[in-house]
Amino acid sequence: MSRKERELYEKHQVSNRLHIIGSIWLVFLIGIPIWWKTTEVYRASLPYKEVQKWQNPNSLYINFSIQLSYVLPNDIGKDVNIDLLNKKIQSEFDKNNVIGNNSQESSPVDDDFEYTYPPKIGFSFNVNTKSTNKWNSDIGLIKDIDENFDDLLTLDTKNDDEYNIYILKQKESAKSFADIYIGKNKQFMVFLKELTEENIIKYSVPIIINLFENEHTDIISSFTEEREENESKEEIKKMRTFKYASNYQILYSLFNGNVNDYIVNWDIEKAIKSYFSPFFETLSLISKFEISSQIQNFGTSPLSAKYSNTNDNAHYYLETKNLGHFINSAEWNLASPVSTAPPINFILYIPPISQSPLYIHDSKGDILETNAFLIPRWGGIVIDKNRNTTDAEANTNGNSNYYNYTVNDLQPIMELFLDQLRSLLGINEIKFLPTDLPRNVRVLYSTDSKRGITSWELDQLLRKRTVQNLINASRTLNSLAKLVGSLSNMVVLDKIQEKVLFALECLDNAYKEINGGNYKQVFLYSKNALVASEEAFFDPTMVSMLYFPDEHKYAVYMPLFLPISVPLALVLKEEFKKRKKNKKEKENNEAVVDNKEKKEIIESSTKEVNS
Amino acid sequence: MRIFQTHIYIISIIFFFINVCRSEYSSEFHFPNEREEIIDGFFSKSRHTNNWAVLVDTSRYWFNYRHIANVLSIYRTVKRLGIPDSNIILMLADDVACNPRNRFQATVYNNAERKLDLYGDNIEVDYRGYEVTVENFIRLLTGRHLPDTPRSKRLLSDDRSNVLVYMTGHGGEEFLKFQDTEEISSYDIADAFEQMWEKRRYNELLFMIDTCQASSMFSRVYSPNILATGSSQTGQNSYSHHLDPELGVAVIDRYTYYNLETLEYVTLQSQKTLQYLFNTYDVSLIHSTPGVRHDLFERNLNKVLITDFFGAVNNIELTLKGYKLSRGSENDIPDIKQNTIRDKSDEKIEKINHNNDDHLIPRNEYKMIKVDFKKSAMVSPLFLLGSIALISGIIFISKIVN
Amino acid sequence: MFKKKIISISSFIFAYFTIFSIINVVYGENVYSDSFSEELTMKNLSETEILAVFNFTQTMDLKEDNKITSYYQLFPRAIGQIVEKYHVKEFHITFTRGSWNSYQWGLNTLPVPVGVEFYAYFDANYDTNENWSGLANAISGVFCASVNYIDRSKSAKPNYSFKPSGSYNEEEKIEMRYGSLSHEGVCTENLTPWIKLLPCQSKMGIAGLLNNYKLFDTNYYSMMAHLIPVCIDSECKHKQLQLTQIISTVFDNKRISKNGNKSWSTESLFGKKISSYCPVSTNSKIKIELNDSDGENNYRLIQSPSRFESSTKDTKYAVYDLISKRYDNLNIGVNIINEKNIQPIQKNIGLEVYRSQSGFAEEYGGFVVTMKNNNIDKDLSITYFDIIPWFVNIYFNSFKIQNTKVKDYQNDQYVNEFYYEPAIEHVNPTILEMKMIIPRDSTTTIEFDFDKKHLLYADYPPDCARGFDVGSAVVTVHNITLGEGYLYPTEDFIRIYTEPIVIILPAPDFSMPYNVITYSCTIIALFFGSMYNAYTRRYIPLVVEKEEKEKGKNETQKIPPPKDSISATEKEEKDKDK
Repeated sequence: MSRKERELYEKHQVSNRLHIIGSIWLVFLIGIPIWWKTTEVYRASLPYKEVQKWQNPNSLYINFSIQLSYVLPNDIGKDVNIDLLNKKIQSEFDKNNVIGNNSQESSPVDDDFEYTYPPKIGFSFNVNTKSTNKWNSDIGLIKDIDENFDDLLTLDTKNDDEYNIYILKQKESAKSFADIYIGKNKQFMVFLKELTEENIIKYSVPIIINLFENEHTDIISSFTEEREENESKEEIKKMRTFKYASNYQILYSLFNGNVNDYIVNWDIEKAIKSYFSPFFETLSLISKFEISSQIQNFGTSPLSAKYSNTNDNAHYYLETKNLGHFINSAEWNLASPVSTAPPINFILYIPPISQSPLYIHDSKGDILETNAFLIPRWGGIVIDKNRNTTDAEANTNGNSNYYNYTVNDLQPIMELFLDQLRSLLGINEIKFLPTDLPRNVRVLYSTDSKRGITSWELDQLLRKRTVQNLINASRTLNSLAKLVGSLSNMVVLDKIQEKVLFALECLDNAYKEINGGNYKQVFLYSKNALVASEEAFFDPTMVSMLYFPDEHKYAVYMPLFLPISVPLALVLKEEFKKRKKNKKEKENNEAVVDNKEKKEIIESSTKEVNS
Repeated sequence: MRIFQTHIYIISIIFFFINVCRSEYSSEFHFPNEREEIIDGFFSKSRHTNNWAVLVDTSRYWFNYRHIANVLSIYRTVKRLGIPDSNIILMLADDVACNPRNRFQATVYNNAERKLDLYGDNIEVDYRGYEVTVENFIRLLTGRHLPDTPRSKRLLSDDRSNVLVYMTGHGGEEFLKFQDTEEISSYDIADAFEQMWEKRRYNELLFMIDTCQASSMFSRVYSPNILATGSSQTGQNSYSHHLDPELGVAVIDRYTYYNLETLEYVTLQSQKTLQYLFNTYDVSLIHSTPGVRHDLFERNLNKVLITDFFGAVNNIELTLKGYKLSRGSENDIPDIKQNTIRDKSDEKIEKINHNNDDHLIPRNEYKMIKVDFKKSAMVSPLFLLGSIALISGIIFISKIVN
Repeated sequence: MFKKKIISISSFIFAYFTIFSIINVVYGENVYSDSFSEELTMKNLSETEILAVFNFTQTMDLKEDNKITSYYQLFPRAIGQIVEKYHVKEFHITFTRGSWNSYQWGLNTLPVPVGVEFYAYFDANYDTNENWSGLANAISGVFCASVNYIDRSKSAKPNYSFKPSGSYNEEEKIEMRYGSLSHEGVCTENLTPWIKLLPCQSKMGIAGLLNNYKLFDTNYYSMMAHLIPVCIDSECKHKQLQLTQIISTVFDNKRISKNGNKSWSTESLFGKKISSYCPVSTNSKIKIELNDSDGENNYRLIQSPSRFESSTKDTKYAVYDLISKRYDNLNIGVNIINEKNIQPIQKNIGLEVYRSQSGFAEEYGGFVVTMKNNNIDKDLSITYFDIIPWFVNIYFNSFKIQNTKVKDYQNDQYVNEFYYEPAIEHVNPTILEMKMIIPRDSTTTIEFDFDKKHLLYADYPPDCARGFDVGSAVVTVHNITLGEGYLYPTEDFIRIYTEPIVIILPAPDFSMPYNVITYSCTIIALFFGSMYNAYTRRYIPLVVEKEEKEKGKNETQKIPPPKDSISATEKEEKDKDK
């Protein structure tokens, strides 16, 4: 064999080996990343930074701008200094409640940081005046002020966003029905003996301050979380009111203690429509209500009534401390099969004749006139009184007698239900005890007996819910971010990302709008932010993969990669060694005779074989 | 004190009425510096307003009768103490009551004397048979349910709920077997609780587990306000109590049995605390050392009533007056129209939901990927490497030959 | 103040509602627009087995636009809200435990398969698939059953077998879904919510007899709820929802009565006496069906009934009217005097259907369906409907349809319709539906073969060693006349269900996935390692000295075989030879 051929053959061999090794390594280098990509879970990227931004307390400074407009008689309209009035109000307000009260310094900065401090809420007032002579001073003298008193008062040129304060001259001769009258629309009126500026300030400013202070404290207190037991009014209020939901289902149930005594029916549909529809219509801005009703026979309560024969009216009674067990949840069908909206139950309970008349004793032991109570975050119960007392003996002879509650029968019951519903939904009645007013000023609060909620109350609720939604939305987003960060093998689909982005967008919009004073729009944004963030958090695809520790992973992959990687590495090493060697040879002897070279080759080859 | 206040209140009421009569006006005058009206009612000391119970039996087959009896015993207790079925999520991995092997059809007893039938005539099992899976359990806790899961299968608790989670089954160190096919690990439970806390889905949570090496199951929990107790320490077994010769199987486990001995005497009004319950644990009776973990729990156990978790809370508030209403005219009844104020954002959110519709995805999509995931991970590189090595080899052989 | 519903009620289409309306006249005014009627029928099914059928029927008027009002009276809110949400027109669900022994008991007048059968009609204007899964979930919540496992991969849409039982007007378009779970257990947790749908629950009236301990200790227990819309006016503009709840049980007197006495009564069967009727019910009756032929000399009624009604030509009903409070806290039943000749009261249509499994091992399987028409004077027109799960591969070419009488049976004359829908894994099952005529006194057999699939890890249930269930096949017998005792007596067809079948599929050993991984890895690693090693060897040609010597004379040079260790040793041997 000629040396040329042999070299050729050699080269050929070497190149082969190179190809093989190269290709295999190539496969590895390509294959591993491919495998890595193909087996990892899909995770859409979330905007962590933006989410974090909402956790910073300063970003949560919510400042409502309140438009106040004084409506003054023409004669003094001009000589009232608006700026002074404005400053006065603002300073008064800020004096009593420091914006973003200093609790967040005190609260420890743990990972629940964002929960422990209440948000900063401010009200910035700006005052303007209108002057009109629409009313003579007799207006306060109307003996029978009726429902539409406010409406009569309301200016034709009023815009929805501003609160009107009417300053009226009071007649010396006759006393008006009140000194200060807080209307059901966005207005209150002050009757003054003499129209002077300091009088105006003296009588009107405290009312404003009171109104908005109460609101402010109410909102703030709804965020503080304290673990220790207390029965403060705030705590009870927080216990009572439902969390915000865009939908509530309201169920009116008629529970018949014993169907053998009566077979009862009620015109509930008519009653609800005629008493409640304005209320639901007004509130539907904030959340929707799915209303339904049912009649349950054999609604026997597990609570056995005690009998009292004292003070000459024999009756059965229930004690306050036991009332919690009044509901017979095992047998009363109250749960809804389909909707997952929070249910609010209202129960009209007709006690069996064997237990009537049935009254509730308050904690002091007296009979409660209303005979009604509410269960926090659950609903309200009214125990019927009329049925008790009336034809109780009517059916001594076995045949059961029918009774139907007409719309008029239901009025007192509906009034109780409405009161309970208001408090369950967190509506605060505008009925504060005015401070820093001069004594014996008669303040009169009107209630809205048509809508069941005054504009003042509605606005307060709207603002409160707005703040709550904004905070909750940002918290939910933060929780979501935390969660996704902590569980590395959880799938995150694009729709989650979309929803998060959408929620953030809504938050931004809300904060942009908030100073505009268009509360409705702001609320809508806040609501959507909350809904979107919650949908993202509770998405069914967000269930993470089961816990699978790393050592298990190694255990699974080891049997493959270890045995495969050994020959790969060795061969590579060998190859490098050989190349070095060959180079050396080439250098030291260029022209060597065949057999000598041959011997070397043989040696090397045998050596290789051994190796 | 309260009595005095009520007194004042009633006086003021009367005073108001006088006012009302004088001014012929239905509303009330308020004068500066009056007394504030007070709330009358009864409120529980703990901050919660509702109770939930999640009771899980994870083991299948007739010979695990005792596990189902454990769960049903607790179910009876919480129901007796007033938690409604709508707030109890009951998971039973098998149906022993109507099992053909059961000599006494439609009954489950936790005692060889067979005095009390736990199954009774009023029971609602929310998850049964194949539905009892790790996936469903975690979905339940975290609230991430498939679309149109019925209300009765959801844990709709809020920031004022006290939740009792009771589990029983066959377990080992840091895992509990579901249905003899899959396991849930202590890490999964800890993460699930954390997610509950993140969304404030509980106020306080009591985690109670009766299985072998029970304490290892709550060793990883790290969320606040969780109180945990288990039948045995890590490395210990838990044992069954006694056997019913006519059924031929053990009817209850020791730990649950001795818990019940206390719980049976608890009534709605009783003031017994959890500390009292824990003190009754007797190693010589239970044959294993029950574990209690309260480092995450803020309240003092001497203050925590048993009924805070095993019973329904009874907060009530008396309604003192109605809200005056004037009804619309007799003849025309208005219809309830809830004016829907919508803006573009509403449509947008619907769009998002519509784009990726959950309903049309078959169930398997939601199955938590477990071993088959690993398998695919295994197979893909193997196949890749193996095949390519083979091909390259063949090529080069042919090259060598000619 | 009290609405009179005489007109509406008396216009019901069902036989017993005529009596119902009479009662309504008697008991004049009714406060509710809803109505409720309860009824219990008992009879000797065989010598020692007694059939007891509870029937509770509630109705609720729909609004003008045939929508459901959200202000409920007696009608269960749970059902109403579900129906409203998922646009359901009518639904039928049955829970059954133990199978109906048609050889001894004759025809089941309330035919059901073992386990759960569930089908519903939806408003076709909405997405039916969505509503179907929604309804299944909701119902599973209401009845505490795993009905939600009836997903798309288990449900079908029969073409010929099922007709809506409710009445509809022209402009209503409806769509149907059908599914069944043969392995679903039935127990107290299903009965509890079922009872909660009744206006008096089980506090009063006939429902008071429902004693779960007794009911589940029977040979056969079937519990059902049927909701259908009913027209009240002629052109079907104004409608009513009608919810019929039925429990049908077969008690075994051998087990119940201590002294082997064949007499039976409400007390001996249910362990309870009758409490009074449910006060809101407009009809409350207990009926005992008796043979006219054997008169007073064979049996004696424990209580004298309100009246007798003749049902069919040779049987009559003893009717106990509970609304006349005569029977409160009394025990209603039959004392058998002459135990020798008790004629069981049975119905029959002379069709036997079985479905059995053929094939062998865990790989090959097949079904053989046998339908035997025993009538010697009547050909039967039937529809065979079968849902076969996707985990078996059916060979369409293996279909054989034969008849003992007719040679070339497989033609349009006998097999009028043949609908076959092949399965798609995880998406939908194989659906087989054929409309055929079985000639008098002959047997038709349908045969086909299939392979059993290997499933994914996640597809195996926890107890897959038990096997996989294939639900009952439905055979619908057309144009026959029903009578009283059937669910909807006016219908002209009756169903017969085969037994469900359990198929054993090849199941892996789930305990050792890791072993599998390691083994397979090792093998592949070995293969790869050796292969790779071989490729990357160095091959050097070795030249023998001999050739060197002979170089001069012999010019021809051939490349010697490649030199490696072996050839080297050969060389040495050669040297030795010299």
